[in-house]
Amino acid sequence: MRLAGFLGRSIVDRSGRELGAIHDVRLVKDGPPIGSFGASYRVHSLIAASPSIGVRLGLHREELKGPWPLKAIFRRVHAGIVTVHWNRVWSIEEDLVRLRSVLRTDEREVGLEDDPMGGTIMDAGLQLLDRQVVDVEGRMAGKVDDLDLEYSGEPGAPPRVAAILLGPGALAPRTAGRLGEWIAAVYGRVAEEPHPNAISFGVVKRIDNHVELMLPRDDLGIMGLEDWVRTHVISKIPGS
Amino acid sequence: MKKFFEIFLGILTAFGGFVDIGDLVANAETGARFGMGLAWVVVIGVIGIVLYAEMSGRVAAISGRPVFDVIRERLGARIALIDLVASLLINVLTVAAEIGGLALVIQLATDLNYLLWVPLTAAAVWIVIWKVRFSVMEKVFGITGLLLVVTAVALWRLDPDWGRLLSDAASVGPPATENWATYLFFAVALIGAAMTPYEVFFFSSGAVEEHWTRRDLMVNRANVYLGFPLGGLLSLAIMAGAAVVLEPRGIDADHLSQMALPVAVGLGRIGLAILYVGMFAAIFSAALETSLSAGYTVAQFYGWQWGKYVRPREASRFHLVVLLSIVVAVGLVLTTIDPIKLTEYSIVLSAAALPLTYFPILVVANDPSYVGESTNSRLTNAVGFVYLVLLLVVSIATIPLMIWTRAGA
Amino acid sequence: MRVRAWLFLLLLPACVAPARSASDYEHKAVDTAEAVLSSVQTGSLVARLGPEQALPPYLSVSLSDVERAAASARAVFLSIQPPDARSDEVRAELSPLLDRSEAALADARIAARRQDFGALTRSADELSSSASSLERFIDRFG
Repeated sequence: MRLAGFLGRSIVDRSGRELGAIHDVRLVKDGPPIGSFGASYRVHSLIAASPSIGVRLGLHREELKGPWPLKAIFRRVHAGIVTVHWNRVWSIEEDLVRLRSVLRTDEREVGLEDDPMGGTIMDAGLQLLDRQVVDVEGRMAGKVDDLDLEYSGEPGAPPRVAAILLGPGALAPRTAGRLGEWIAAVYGRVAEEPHPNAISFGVVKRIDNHVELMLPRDDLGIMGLEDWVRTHVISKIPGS
Repeated sequence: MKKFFEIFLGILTAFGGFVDIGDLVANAETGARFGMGLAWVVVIGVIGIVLYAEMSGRVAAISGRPVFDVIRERLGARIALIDLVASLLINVLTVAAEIGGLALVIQLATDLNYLLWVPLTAAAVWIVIWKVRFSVMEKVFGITGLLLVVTAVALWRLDPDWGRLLSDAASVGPPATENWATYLFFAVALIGAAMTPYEVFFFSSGAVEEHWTRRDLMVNRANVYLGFPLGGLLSLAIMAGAAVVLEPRGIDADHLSQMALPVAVGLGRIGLAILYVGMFAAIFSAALETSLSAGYTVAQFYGWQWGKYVRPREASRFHLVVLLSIVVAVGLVLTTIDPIKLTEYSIVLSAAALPLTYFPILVVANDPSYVGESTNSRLTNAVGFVYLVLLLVVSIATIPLMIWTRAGA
Repeated sequence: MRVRAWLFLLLLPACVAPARSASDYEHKAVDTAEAVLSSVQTGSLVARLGPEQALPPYLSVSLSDVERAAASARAVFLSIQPPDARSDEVRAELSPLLDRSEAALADARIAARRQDFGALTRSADELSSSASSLERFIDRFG
């Protein structure tokens, strides 16, 4: 299941009232351990707002120091943010996420009290998606174009982040909608590696303003296009 | 001592590398049409680029994230992609303008048709990008660009009425012979020329290329706060030269030859020769920067390896984009569109694209997860926000003004 | 939307709208006179620069540039259909000025390429006098 697929989908409660569009997914680092990363990030709650414009900028966060006119504008816009715990989700449908219960209009936090967050909190959209991935040698290894969520198998447990997804297979559906999905399919047929490219979260070393890996990028099988351009174009030019 | 020398060189590089074909054309044409009447706009443009270049340099030095990384991280993949397409188109147009400008300079010096020189100069630009080390490339062409100071010397030799120049510069509003629409259109062009997005893309990527860290913030500030305003003074010298020599005679600065006229009149052959070298170096430097910026923006959006700090084979896609940008730019120039026209379009379209570039920079320069404790001061935020509003207004007004005034005809 | 506007604008300079009225025609006449004046004044200034002041290629290139610009402005103007009799008079008055200017610029360009500085100075005088005539025209109709 792709995390970015959630973004933009509407959340409706049991009575059909729309609470807003999902603009972020809150993760907590207390899921089952994965690879050498330690405890994995698992889904804690969905964050919805109406409207959701400008939330990526993160201007509503306290630690952001200014400029105050922008913060003031966006604070009003985000007065209606609703945070819904994952276990209140009834079903995930094509265009929306349906909750089990009916919400009061003034409820801002739903079901959070059941789940004390036992680890580092990370908002996927704000702090993980679209970040630069850097390998152990400090070289660029792509962007976090999407995240792969998987169920660990325990009944009732929320999904955890299993892998970083990169490349056209992951990016195209996010940027170009239906057309993007077609592009991704074509790329998958043309490229030699499985698509979309994935880096298991088990080889992530740490997450800062970028994502650092424990391995060199050439060991990850994600450099297909780069290798092709190098072999067929760049290495033909003297001095490369 | 070594640090002092490094700072000194950095200032000179920023000073000499400030003016490009866009600034040359915008300031000369404006001086010929409006005298010094729009000089205040140059001041505004320079303050704007100083402010935002400092921010983007600080962000890059502390977090290692250049501007386009920030644009994607803060605006999201979809909007950033739109921004990328727009920026890339304008970027390639600007590369074409710079290469066309270089060919025009050689034509002016040799009286051989500029089209002949286009492939040669483009190849030279690419070879320098391919082979020459980043810091050497920057410094050599930037510092040689200092020869443009000949425009200020020529101005002084023309012995103008300084009082009149200053009072014109301080006045706001078009002269009797022109209307507000054309006046504002030229103002928009001047802002576009002073604050062209490629400048911050290049500046912040350059900070990473040169492995700047927190300790280099001092160098960052010196380059920007001293080097850029000095470069701005050169822009004003070009404007004043046109105001003194061209405007009173009703001469429009439509051709590079007319833009060089104030120096020819003021200093004669030697001045002209120095001007040619200075123009060539400054425009060559800009051609390098814009070509690299095309590569930087695409690679930084997709997360590819970029930069001259690794061998070309380690950043193959990046170098392919740079090469293709130069090739497309050459194609554009070879369609025989007047390079001056190309320049005019590039600076005006740059003006339209400014807010998308500068908005995320302002946000991120306040974010401790990028800059730690070095977040913006209240003054920086206040001025930065005012500029953002200004740039938004400029951006919205650009295309209507261009259509209304038929591109300043 | 931005891309389309840009394409449209690339075509715009090539479009020459016909003159619908006498005053419209006069405006175009004045615009043309101003454009040619810019060329003539440039030519006049450049022609007076002489061998100490300017490098020979500079003289040739600048004079060719402005000669071409003046020729283009003249051709565009002359291709516009005068809408009425009053416009015919305007055309009759401006047309010889444009011819003279273009001839003088051509002479200057030829002299510059040959590095015949005597001829260049004579063209400079001719260009100054053309400039005055154009200025008078602009004052009358502008």
